[in-house]
Amino acid sequence: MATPVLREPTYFILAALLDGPLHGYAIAQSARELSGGAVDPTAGTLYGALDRLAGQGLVEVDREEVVSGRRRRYHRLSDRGREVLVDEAARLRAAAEVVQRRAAGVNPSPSLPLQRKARLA
Amino acid sequence: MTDRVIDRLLLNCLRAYPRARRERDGEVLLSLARELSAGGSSPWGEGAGLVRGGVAERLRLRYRGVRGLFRADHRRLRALSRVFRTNPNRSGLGDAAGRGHAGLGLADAPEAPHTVRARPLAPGGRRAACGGALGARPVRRTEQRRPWGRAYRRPVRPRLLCGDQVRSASSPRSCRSATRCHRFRHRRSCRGASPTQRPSVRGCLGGGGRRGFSSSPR
Repeated sequence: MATPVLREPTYFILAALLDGPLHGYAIAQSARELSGGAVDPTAGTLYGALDRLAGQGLVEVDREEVVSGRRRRYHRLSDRGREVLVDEAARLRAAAEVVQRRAAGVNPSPSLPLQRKARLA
Repeated sequence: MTDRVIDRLLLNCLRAYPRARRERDGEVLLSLARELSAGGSSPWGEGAGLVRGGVAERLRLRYRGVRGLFRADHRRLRALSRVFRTNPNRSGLGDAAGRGHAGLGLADAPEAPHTVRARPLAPGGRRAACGGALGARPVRRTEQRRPWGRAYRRPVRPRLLCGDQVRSASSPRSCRSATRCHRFRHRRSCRGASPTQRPSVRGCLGGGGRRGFSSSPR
């Protein structure tokens, strides 16, 4: 299966789930903290993203609970989701390194494409 | 804004989602929106997010090419979709949605220059697009195909008068067939009324001669 492209909200939503199963509100809070406020998903955005990620097999529904009259659905990261997230982090790190080296005046002359280099790292 | 008002707002916005989705996940989604709004997020923002998510869901169900909704100013919209520019109504929305960019700056249309704005606001345009997205009643083709710039007239529905035969309908009928007589505002047929009450017996019975009512009883 092709590796899905992760946009910034999706990336931080998956990153929030690295700690374990979380419900929607906790995911939104965690994503906001991890992104430094750059990602502030609304209920519709978060729900749509989780639904799409579940369809791609990156996220699984863990359980449902009713807390103080409110139904909460917990999601957890699947093995494939963890793998995709780690790959994406490595790709971003490699891309950042290219810019940082060039900005520092070092010519890196990368011999491998970024995607492949990130996977080998 | 009180909790009750917020609940009503979010509940109404939740209706943008398809019914099947609402029945399956509506409670979870509503709880999440309530928690986020109670946690400091704007209820209006949460409501808008629900509407956007619901419309995107409906569009995805109907047009498989749609990935989601995004906001676009009118210039970008025109650049993205020439189809929608030339045909800004429901079918145009469908064409544009089939190409993967729907949603389409409808909210931004009023910000466009006047000459451009006139098109989406033309009869059957913006309303039809929104209606199509939300699954509302489709707009008549006569409204869709009317050229822009021409004076718009609402299509006149034929009024059924006592004794009139509706020849354009699939089955001819008169006012006796439990149809409201528009001139005299009575629901039942005037067949059983006294001669002074029924203005035109022949007309009511559909018995040829002059159709409709005369002003004085005969």
